[in-house]
Amino acid sequence: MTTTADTAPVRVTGRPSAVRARPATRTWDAGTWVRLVLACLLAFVQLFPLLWMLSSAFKSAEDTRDAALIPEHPTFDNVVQVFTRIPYATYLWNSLLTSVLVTVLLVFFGSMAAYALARLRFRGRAALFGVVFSTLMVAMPVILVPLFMVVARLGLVNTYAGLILPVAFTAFPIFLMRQFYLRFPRELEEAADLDGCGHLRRFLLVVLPLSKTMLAALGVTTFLSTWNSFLWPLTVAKDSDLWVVQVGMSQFQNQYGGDWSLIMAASLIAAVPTLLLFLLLQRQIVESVQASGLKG
Amino acid sequence: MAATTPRATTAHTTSARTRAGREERAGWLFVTPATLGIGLFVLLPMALSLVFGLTDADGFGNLSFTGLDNYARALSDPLFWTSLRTTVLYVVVFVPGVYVLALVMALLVNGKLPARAFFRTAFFAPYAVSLVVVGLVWKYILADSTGILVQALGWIGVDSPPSFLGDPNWALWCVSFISIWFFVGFYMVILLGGLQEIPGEILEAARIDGAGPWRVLWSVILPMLKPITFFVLVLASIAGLAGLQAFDLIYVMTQGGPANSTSMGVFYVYQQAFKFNNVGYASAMATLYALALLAMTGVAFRITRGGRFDHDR
Amino acid sequence: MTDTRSGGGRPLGRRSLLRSGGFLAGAATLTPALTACAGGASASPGAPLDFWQWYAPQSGGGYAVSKQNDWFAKLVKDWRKESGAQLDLTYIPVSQYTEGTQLQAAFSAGQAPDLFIISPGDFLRYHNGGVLYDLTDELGLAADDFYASALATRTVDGRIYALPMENEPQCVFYDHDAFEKAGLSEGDLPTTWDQLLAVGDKLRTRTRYGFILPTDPTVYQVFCWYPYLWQAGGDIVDGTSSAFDSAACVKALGLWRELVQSGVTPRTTQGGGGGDLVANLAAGYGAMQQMTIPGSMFLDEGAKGFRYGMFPLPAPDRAAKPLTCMGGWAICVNKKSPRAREAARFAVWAVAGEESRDRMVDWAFDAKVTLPARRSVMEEAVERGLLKSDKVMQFAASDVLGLPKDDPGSSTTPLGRGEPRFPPEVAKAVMDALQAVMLSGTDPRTAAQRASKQIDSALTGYDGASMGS
Repeated sequence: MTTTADTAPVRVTGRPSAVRARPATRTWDAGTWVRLVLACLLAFVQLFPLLWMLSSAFKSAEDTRDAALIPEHPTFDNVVQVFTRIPYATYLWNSLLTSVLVTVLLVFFGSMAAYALARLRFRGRAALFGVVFSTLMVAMPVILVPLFMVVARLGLVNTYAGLILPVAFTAFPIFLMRQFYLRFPRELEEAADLDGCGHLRRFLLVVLPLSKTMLAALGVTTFLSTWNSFLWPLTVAKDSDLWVVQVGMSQFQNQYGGDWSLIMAASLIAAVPTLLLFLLLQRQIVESVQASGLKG
Repeated sequence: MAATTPRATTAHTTSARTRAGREERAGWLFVTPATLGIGLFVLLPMALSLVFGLTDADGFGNLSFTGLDNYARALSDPLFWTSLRTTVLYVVVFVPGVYVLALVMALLVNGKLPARAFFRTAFFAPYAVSLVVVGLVWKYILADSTGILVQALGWIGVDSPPSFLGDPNWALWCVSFISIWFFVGFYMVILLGGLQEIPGEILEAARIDGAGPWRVLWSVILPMLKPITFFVLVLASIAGLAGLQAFDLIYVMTQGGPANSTSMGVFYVYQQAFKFNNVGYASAMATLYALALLAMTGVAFRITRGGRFDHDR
Repeated sequence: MTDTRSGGGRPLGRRSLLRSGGFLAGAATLTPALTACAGGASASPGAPLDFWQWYAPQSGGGYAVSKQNDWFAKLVKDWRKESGAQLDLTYIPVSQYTEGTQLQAAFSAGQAPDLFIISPGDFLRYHNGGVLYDLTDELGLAADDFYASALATRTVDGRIYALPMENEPQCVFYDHDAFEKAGLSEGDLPTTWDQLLAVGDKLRTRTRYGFILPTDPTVYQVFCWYPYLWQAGGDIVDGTSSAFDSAACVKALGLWRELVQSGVTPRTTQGGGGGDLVANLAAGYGAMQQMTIPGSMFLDEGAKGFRYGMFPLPAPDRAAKPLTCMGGWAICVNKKSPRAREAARFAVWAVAGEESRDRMVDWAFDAKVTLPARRSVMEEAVERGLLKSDKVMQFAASDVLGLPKDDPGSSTTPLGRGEPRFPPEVAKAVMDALQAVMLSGTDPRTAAQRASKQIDSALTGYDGASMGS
């Protein structure tokens, strides 16, 4: 692994060209069977709760306690109920808006800072990175009260800006993108430099387009984690007009707790966007996760 | 900011200086938005938390300086120690559990296995769902007397199943297990990246030398995975200690109960601040946790020479 | 208990912070700047007053009662007619209201509402924080109309800080069908603790528990346990020291332990928790469930067609009085609001004045369906024949509270005692004891001793308002 980074040709996706395991042979030996059984078992554990949610969402209220995975009297009623009883569409829209904007801000400013920290020489660079790195693992619940005070002082409570800005600047994307830019081939930048490009133009016109894949990967994971965040939106958004899906969900549980089919239907609706995103963009997610720490 | 921005007078000597000055300015320009944001929304709250920790702030705007009283109080508060113990227990279960399972999954998916893509997707899928939903779904599965798990246990003859979320001896295990279930795919993907970087020739050579699969695992794969293993363990420990992932689960599933058995540090801090109005005390405890985390990240930073996890020798 | 103090907030600690050697000077100077107007609502004059509660505007759910929603809507309309001023209702779901972050976060950031409601259990938290406006003067003679028991837990040194809207005694709800299926009839309704255990056991099936109690660690759990403590003759504190380490307390803790250990009471509840009748009793999770009187409205609206009955809390034995605990919510005014006076005028107009009598009759007998907190409201209802015609209200007045049939407006409630008020640390100690005996199976004596120590250490140097009820 020590051989990869600097000698490798331009490889923006970050996937090294390592040789995989032996090519598959046609016959399955005992080991393959053992592995297959083990994999099935693990896959069952990983998937069952999600399948159970899917199944229960379409069960009628009487069948909620039924142990059958296939609903006996399948009904679409629960899903309809979720949308009619509470403004779920509004929650979905709020989640979407928040997640997209947070993602854009985080990815753009994060990669910009990361590029500077990796490639530009300026005084205080090391110290700044140390400070950024130290905030990497600050947990939201721990700074919730002071953060809320700051946000309130800025007049952002109960606004979209309050939902978005406080979570749109974190250390993780900087950390991740810096790792990436450290291995970014210098020749490309230098070619741009000869043309008399300024640093900003160089970044926007040369570096960013070349980091597209990486940015997409980062974007997808950021979108996922923003969509799934709960405590901050719960605290900052008082009006239900500003509630995101996760907050709406938790309230829904408190209000309709007796009706598990309904709750599972709501859960399903909350989970579908991210599950779809995951299925469609699996490759990007995998790359972003893998890039987070292994390659310097 | 860059203090000197010399005007070019003689081309040759100053062009280097100018370039350095431009780079200096550009550097600061690039980092300014993110730094301002982090400063305002992360560092400032951290600093405020530090200050509040030295006061008896009650969340109603009253505060006066009380020095280290809050820290002394934490040391003599049995619930602080309980929450610390719970956190450590959680980390001790979570970190090895998630690592071993993730490694097994990564090895499976990387090896000879039919429908590899399907299994990789299946292992990773829980990570795509929010913790609030995860908490609700598991609460449904684990529900007393009516949950599917209790029913399933009944089929195999377990007549008096435990109350998974209502028994202090079980609840923390459940929260830990669900955390592992949720995160294992994430760490699997990281480990998979490492596995794929092991040159096939080395594995082949080991096999030709007559090494069995276990031998290959112990003597070739694991040593080569060392840096990534280290990275995974550090990341998982820090995240576990910070309670990053567990908070939403606890909030939805147990509210810290039963009998405080899932009241991890981060939840106890939240409880003191929001239920008991002890913002000062909560801040002091938060600072203690933050210091522990900072020490851990500091050590990790040191060992990895600035966050590089690829050459640990 | 270094954080509790009586009366108004101390001046901000800016000077003391700076005196302390410029510690973290930058952040320290920022702190007072950030908290300078903490607690004060930021609304400008002319803007609508903001009123936070868990009734309206909303629709749907186990706690949604459309009549309560309508009552509040009408209140806002009437206030506009009366004063020409607007009032904004902000709805926060009840579980979020009692256990969540919003009200708390709003106060710490100086964005708290002008008006909000609290239960007695939370009174000291807010009062000792110095954010409750003194309503005594605005209230004037109207104070005499309130039942003494209802005002007592909202009064400090003769000054009134919250206006009770209602009186919610606890009782037990039961599932008619479950009783029938178990071959039990109304004659079998438990009146003693032993009967509760026995009947609860008979009602158990594979999927149904006998008796639902709150098991989540919440203030509501403690609220539900007070009656048993009182029935056994115990109390939480005596003055400012713990009275928790007593035989009565051990006995009351023992009952709840026994209920869970014998499998009559489940270790977890569904939906919104132990107070959610729709998600637990009506959903078939349990055959009996403890809750306050207004639970009938939640059942009527959230579980239409569900057949249920109610009976008073059982007592330790036939000789003991079946005491109950009376909860209820009260309107408060945020003292730090720049428009606290206007808000106070609204609060008094809304629930206390002479002309609000009919409105409060509607609230007590039609919307919330629980006993009123004012004598004139009760008398008016008796006169209109509302008490006699309403089975639930009749049951609440005579069976649960033991009010004499010929004088239902009597100011003493023989079987009812107001929900006591304690600082959060004391409530937490009681809650931990309950959690320990119920869910860890801890010996009640050990739990009582441990909690007693916790209470004493929490109350060392306590100088806040008096506790209890």
